[in-house]
Amino acid sequence: MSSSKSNKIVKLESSDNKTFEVEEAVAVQSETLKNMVDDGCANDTIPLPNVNGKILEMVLGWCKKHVDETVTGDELNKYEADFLDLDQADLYGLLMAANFLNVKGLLDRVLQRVADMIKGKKPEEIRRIFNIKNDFTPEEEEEIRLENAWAFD
Amino acid sequence: MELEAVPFGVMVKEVLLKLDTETLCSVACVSRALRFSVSQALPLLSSLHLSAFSPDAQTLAHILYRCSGLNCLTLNCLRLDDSSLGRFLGPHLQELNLLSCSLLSYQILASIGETCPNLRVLMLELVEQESPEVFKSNLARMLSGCLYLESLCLKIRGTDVDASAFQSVQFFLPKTLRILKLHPVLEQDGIQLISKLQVDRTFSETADFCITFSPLTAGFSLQCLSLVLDIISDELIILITNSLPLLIELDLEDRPHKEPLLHHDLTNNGLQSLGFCHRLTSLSLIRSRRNHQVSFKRINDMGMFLLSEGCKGLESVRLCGFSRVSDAGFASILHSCQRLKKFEVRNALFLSDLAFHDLTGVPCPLVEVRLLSCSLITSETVKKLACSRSLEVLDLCGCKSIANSCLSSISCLHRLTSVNLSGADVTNYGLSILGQGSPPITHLCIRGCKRVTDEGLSLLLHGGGTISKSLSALDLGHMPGISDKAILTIAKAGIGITELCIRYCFNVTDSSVEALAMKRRFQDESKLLRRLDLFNCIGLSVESMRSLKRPSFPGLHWLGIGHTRLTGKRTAVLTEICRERPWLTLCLDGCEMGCHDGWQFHGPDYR
Repeated sequence: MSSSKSNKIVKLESSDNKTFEVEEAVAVQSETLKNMVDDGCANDTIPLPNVNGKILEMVLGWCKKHVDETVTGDELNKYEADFLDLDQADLYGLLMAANFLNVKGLLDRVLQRVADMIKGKKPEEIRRIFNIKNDFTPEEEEEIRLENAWAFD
Repeated sequence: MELEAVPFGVMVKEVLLKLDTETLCSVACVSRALRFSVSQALPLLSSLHLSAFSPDAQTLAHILYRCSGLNCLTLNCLRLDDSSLGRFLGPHLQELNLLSCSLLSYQILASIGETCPNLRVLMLELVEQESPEVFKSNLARMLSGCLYLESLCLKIRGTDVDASAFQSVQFFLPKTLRILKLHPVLEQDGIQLISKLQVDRTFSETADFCITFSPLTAGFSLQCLSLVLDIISDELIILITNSLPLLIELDLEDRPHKEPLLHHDLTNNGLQSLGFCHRLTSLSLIRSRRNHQVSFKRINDMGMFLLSEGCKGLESVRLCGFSRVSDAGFASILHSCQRLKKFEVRNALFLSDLAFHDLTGVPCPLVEVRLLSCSLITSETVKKLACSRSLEVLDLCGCKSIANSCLSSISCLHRLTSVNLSGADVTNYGLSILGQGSPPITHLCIRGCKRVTDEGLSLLLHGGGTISKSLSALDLGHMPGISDKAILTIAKAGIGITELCIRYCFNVTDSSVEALAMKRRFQDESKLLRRLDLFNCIGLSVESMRSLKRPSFPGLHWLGIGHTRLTGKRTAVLTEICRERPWLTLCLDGCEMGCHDGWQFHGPDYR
């Protein structure tokens, strides 16, 4: 409504006390932040205690890229593909942050990446990748193998 | 990273639903919590497509009983009989596609009619077993039960199928039908059928002003028609265009047993009449040579000019058996149809590079191009086609004059995923170009490229290009230059390869089979090999059977071992392999991958 809104800056603070300043248009890519802005709670620095600085910087980079009108479709696709070439710890942090901040496009992409990591893998391999303990009894394991072995055995 | 710590809601709905059925079954075996998550996710699946895998009855039961929310089912029924399938039919099904039904009887039609009243889409590929009368009565029972069918596709296969099976089917077809595909149909019966399917006359006159049809319309509103006939005649096509002017897709194929008679054939007049179908976007006309050496002898360039004038809106064109049409005729289609995306020509004696000469000046967003057995086509055409940046499929099977230079032309097409150069004059150098390029090719066929050797495979997979990661299906059939070295390269470097054909490769020995058996262990990211064709690999000995036992070849679903020493006698090892992996389909008959071409000849041994 008023022209001053388009220049508004939103301030965010990560869990490790790093502050970030971004334009409102960039911040509202996050549904969570958008709700806060709409409710008028975004005037002071918004604390984000469950997102660390490194991850927050990545998320904001994503949002900036998606607001930038000079970026072409092909460039955006390449950016998104390269963006997710991360190690697991970062991927997990990104998943949590995208979920909490509710950045739809990013969340979907990270979930797809996690899915791609699991695709075509055998159970032992999935356990190894994600550090999951095998808590089946031998009888349970045999029963479940009979049901599912066609997929990987 | 602890996957299980991710919020439950996110896990179940989002990640699991992005996975294919095989991976879901694998995840279910990881831990108790994930087993539970999968059991929550499976009922949320509304559709299941298992067309590449032929489950046995037991495996099918394991899969389907957990998927209680399905309303759309696609199955490869190579090994399923009536009883194993019957219990999964029900009123929840809205779409049912049953492929390769080599063991199903005609009774299945009646069962579907009784148990699936809400069916909207039905596709069945059956084998000819009993008299057409039995088929007709079962078909009538099916159609009396499925009153809301919108799409019906029925194919009966076998050697010389009695084509009277679909006689009088027009009396039972529901008015809701939009898509109809029947195979085989006699031309005379086809004429009776079309007359009955006529659109209400008043509608056809006001067709241009109608956007949607009122559901109270008295006539049919068929949009797609596909028939495999004994002969395509002018009479049939003119009747189709007069009766069904609102047709969007028309697909006609004939398989004449003798030379068509002068007054009973397709001529330029028939092609001209297609102009009455103003909404036609997809056209396929095929004259098959499987019964007799025939072609559309009464159609020449004039017919093509008339077609291209009348049907400018075509987006997909397939023309097979037009032996009297020259470059001018084919070029007129390419120039006139500005929205053309799919173009296929087969057995065109006179099609040459000249037809594609002016392609660069035309705004053709070609996505799929198939030029099969067109021996005058050279790499020049490919250079012109490569100007279409949206090209995804390039099929030049049987084009003997294609050489290495075509591969340079396609090396910067970012959407290209399927390439077929069967029988082309391609060498190792050509493969090195492909190996360095950027197209994300998933399907590559170089069958019969006799000058390619092991070196070429190495250059392909070690070239640093995209193909080394993207390639999932590779066809190296009939290649004397391929030996164990190439197969070892594939086992080590072909990480995405899930389907491999090395039929008729005489120089492949047991160590190749051993290497492939261990494909998984070479690299963590390597995908499971699902389908392997070793037909007529006479270099293999009985010893290689040992490599087929568990735990080697994990996840193998289809294996072709006909005409090899592995099938000499029904050995104990073969029986053991089938026993420990009941879901593995073994083909001893020489079918192509997945038995997609020969399933109709398989018997109960395959259960």
